[in-house]
Order: sequence, then C-alpha cells, then structure tokens
Amino acid sequence: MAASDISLRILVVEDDEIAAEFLALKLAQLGCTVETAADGEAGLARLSEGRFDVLVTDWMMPRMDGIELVRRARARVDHYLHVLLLTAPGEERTMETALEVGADDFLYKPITPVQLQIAVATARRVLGLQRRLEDRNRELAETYNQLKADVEAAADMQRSLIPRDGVTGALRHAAFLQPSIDMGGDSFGVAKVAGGTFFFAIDVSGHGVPAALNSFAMHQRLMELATGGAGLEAIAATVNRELFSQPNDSYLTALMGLVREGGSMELLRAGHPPPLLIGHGGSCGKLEDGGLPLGMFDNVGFKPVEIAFGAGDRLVCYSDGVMESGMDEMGFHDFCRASAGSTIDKFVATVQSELATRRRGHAPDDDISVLAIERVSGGD
Amino acid sequence: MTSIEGDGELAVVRIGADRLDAAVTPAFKSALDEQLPAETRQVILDASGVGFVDSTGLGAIVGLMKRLPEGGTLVVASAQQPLRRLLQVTGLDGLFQQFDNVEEARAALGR
Repeated sequence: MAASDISLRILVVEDDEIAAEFLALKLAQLGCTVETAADGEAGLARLSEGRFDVLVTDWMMPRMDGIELVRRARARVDHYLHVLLLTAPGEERTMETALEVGADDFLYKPITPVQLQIAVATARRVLGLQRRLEDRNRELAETYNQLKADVEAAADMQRSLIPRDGVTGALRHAAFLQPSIDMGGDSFGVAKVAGGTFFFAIDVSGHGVPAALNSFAMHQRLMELATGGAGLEAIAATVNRELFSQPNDSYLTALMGLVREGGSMELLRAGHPPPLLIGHGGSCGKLEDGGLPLGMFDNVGFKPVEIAFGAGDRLVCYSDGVMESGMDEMGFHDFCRASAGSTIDKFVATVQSELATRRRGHAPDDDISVLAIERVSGGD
Repeated sequence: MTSIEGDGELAVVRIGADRLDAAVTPAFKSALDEQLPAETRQVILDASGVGFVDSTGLGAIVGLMKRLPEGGTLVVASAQQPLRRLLQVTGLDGLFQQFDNVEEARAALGR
C-alpha cells in the first residue's frame, strides 16, 4: 500500500471550539477520519476507548494540558501513536519537554493548510513504515513459533530414544541428559543383545539441531549394529567409515561396552572422556585405554579392552560437557567416588544436582550427559 | 582474529581468540581458506590465549591437518590446559606434537 493511501484515524484535542472545528475540517479534507475532544481528560478517555493513529493536541488546556496528555497517552496506548503538539513558535523549552514525554512533531500556530498537509503526509509515511514493521514482526513471530514447535517435537523424539532408568539385561542403569539448547549431540542407549548387554554413550560434534540430527541417526545405527550381532570393534569401524564418508566435518566421541555373563566387560573408548569404574568394594579408577573419535580419520583401528565387571561394580560414563560445569575431571571423579554409596538412581540425581549448583543457574555451554551402569546381582 | 604468516613451506597460524567454538570456528576456517599459502607443508598452530575449545573447534584443527599434503605436519604451540586435556582425551595428542611456544616449535621443525 502506498503511503498516500493509508487511512488515518485522528483524535484532535483542543479546548478552542473554533480551532478544533477548523482542524477537523481541514484534516477531513485530507482524507482523514477525525474525532475531537475538548480537553486532556476527555482526550485520554477517547484514546482508551478507540484505536487512533494520530493524536493532535493543543498545549495549553484546562484540567490537563497537552504535555501531560502526551505523557499519559504514551504510558497507556500500546500501539504506535503519532503525536503532534500544537504550540506557538519560540516555545523551545516546551518543545524540549514535549519531545521527552513522547511528541513526534509540532504544528505552529497559526496553523496553515500547508502545515497540515505536510504533517499528514509525514504521519502517513511513518504509519506505513510502522505497519510494515508490525507485519514483518508478526511473520517472524509466526515463523519462530513454528520452528520452536518443530524443535520441541524433534527434542521429544530424541528423548524417546533415551532408555528410562531401570534394568536392562545384566545392567541397572540411570542417566541424565541436558542439552545446552533444546536439543544436542549427546545420546546413550542400553540393549540386551546376543552376547550380553550392550551400552553406549556418544557425543556428536557441534551443537543444536544439526548435532541432534546426527546424534539421532548414530543412536539408531549403533543399536542396529549391536542388535544385529556386530562386535564392538566392527561397530566402531563401521560407524567410523560411514561418518568419515559424509561430506562434512562431523565426528563423534563414543564409549561402548558389552557386559558379558560372568564377571567381565568388553569396553571400547573412542575419544570419549575416560569412564570411572567404581568397584563394589569401593575401589575406584578411570579407564584411559582408547583411541581416536569416530569419523575423523579413515583406516584407523579401534580395539576394545577387557575389564573385570562383577556384581555391584559401577561404571560412570560422561560427556565432555561435564567439565564445563566448574568441575575438572579429578574433581568430578572425587565427587563420584564420595557419592557412590547410594543407589544408582540417587547417585545420578546427586551428580546432576551438584553440576547444576556449580553452574549457578547458567545454561551449559555444551551438552551434558551422564550414564551410570551397574551389574545386577545374578544378572546376565 | 586469526592471522597466518607464511614462510615458504611453513605457516604459523595464530588463532587469535580466547575461544575456538561454534561461534569463532567459521571465521577461523574462512581465514585458512583465504590465507593459508598453497605451498604450506608444515603448520605451527599458535593457540596462546585460547582458553576453550569445543568439538567444533577441535574438528577445525583436525581439518587444518587434513588440508596439508601427504607427509605434512601440524604441531601445536602454547596450548593451555583445556586444549591439552582435549587433545589427550581424544587421543589426538599422539598426532599433534606440542610445544611450549612458537620458537620451540620452529626449532623442532628445523626452521
């Protein structure tokens, strides 16, 4: 719409009846819809009742002057209102005050038709820009809300992959996952497979939706390979090859394990922080054996290690985001060791609470996940 | 801001930011695209002042190594503890030799 086509609804507040009629007539001749009020209080009441585009107000009026009317109108009207103050030439202090309280422009008495024509043309231009801005903001808000709803739906899907705390095969497990924004690249899983109980924790490079999409795909792929009978070495080699062949710089760090019958576990660490093994008798140590992240380099080998993992032994797997919570690795391990006496779900809740406390309410810079597993007595 | 000094086959790449993360990495990669001389075979990555590197930044460092021709070398100078730890955890410390400063790195590379 051209600025000249914009229909203006104008409120004229003027205690001089003749001046008010003159203004109303001239403004109507310029294509505006005009109402009048005889003083500031009446004007303020009309502004509250109807939506006006422009307020034209005299300065000197009984009961409430033009300055006070503008001040109150600005506090009360929540849409854009173009404000013109009628004044005499040379009233510079009044004009300064009027600008401070929210006047946009001035009309100087005696008012001439040309002054009004210029003022209306300016108001139309400003209103036109304002309406375009409002339309654009509305479109942006609608788009944002749609995107936010999509991201929340995708985050729900990602959360649905995460196993609930409980028992799977030989393992009791508890975990928490906190993305730095709505979704992130951390994930973990536990599944009963032919050779025992498989578990993994991964951290896909990057943040937000791209990392989450990759993480979602990798979660599915790891589960598919493990339940299909592949061993840890083959799973790592396959994922490494598939990620490396992607036309981007994506990679992931991973910790995977296969808990077998009896008292052992096969563990493969690929660039993931070294997990903490807390023995049922209280012994504690981190497992540092491992190799490079998956997807960074072609033709690299990934070798699992064999460790003892008997009933009551607990393994704590965590992503690198933990270290962004004001706790270094040693401090985190010390805290885990000191809290290990409680049940696994209480242990994870305590760790989560401690990390949140240390962040002092700040959202994490990186995704944070902690997965704790424990062999169930007699579990296979 | 990333700066790159080329000297024949050697280039010193200074990250020039206190973080190498998702916000900074695109500019770092653009600087490499635009300024890293084609003849570069050895790179000293000067990480002085870099207090935080995330997974995106680490990917960019690995990407810098992959840009070099076969037999090329990337070494890291002046890495602070967070980067040292990240390189160690990910096993990349076995691929990138580390030095306390650029001068030591130059000497080790015979420059």
